[in-house]
Amino acid sequence: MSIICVVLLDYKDGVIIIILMINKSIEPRIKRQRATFVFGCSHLGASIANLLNEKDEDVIIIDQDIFAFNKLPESFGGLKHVGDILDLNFLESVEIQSAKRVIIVTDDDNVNLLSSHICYYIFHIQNVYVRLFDLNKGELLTESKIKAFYPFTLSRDNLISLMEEED
Amino acid sequence: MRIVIAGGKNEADYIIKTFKKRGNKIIVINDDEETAKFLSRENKVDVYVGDMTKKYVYEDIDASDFDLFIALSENDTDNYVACLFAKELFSIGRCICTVINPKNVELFRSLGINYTISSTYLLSQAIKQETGLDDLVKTMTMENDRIVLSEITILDTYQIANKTIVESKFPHYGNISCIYRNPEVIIPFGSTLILPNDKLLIVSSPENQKKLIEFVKKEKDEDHE
Repeated sequence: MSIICVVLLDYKDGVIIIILMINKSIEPRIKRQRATFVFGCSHLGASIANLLNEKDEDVIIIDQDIFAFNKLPESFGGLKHVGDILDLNFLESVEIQSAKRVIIVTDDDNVNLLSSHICYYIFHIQNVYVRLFDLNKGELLTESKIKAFYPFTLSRDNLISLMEEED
Repeated sequence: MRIVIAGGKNEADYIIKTFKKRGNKIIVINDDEETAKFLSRENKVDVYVGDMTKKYVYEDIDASDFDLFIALSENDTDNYVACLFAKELFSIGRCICTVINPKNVELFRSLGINYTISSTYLLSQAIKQETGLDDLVKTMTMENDRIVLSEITILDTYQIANKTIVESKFPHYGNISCIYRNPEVIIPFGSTLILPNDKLLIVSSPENQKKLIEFVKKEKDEDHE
């Protein structure tokens, strides 16, 4: 809790005005209900979290390493949590079950895959997006509605479209 | 039986030796070249050097021909993904996933890896069974802890002693599957008499175990009150 006290003195009329401003919490006002969770504060994770936050979405970003949050700009208004995204108790403590969507972008495909299964099958979140470097691991998601995106195909398609612009 | 053993060093060595004696066909996957050489030299088995969480490894060893898959690496997440490949894409009938973190036993089981085991988890279950109940009750669990078998020794102070099963009004949520009366083993009926020093083997669900034990151990005096 922070308290700001402003005292104005008017000597001519002998009036003293005291303004007390009490700010109960310096934590940004984020609604956990229907928030977007971003798992992994990599350059991609930080960028996605910031972009959504600028679009007035409630964003909560999670990473195991507190220093990873340095990648976020100072203007970032979302919540930052340090924790293990594979720990069910931790996920419950951040109220993951009420998430609007979860975007999983840690650097480890296997962690991303397991995390997406936890969000979808254990916490029943319908909008789960996961980055996978290995295309084959996407075959392990076909039974679910988890949506995978692949840097491999994005780079290839981007290159093809760039080459189409050749003279 | 044809078995794939993925990851691990000393654990893998021990399991290979155990299964090889029984004449099973074994193939080993390990991502560490030194460990692979050690396992191959010690056990004269085929060792594939590769990452157990890559699909091409399973294609190269033709994994769909195998009956049992055992994931032994020290990384729980890798073991989970390897078991998924073996189970979902190569239809290996039985996949055993070992984990270091005991919390992952329940988690992986609820995600469909039915045979998840952790040495710490097993140890804690054994301690719980030994210390949670007194000396006269021994228990064991089956089918992922959904069935409990309790062994209770009857004392002559118990109200059910010297009564038939029908007279004792034994609760419907438990079943006396067997009575051991040294040296006899009795498969009981409703008319079977329960005597002091009998060992009752009672099958129930874990939720009802405590109530059943309380029922059996109810003292005669309490009954008269």
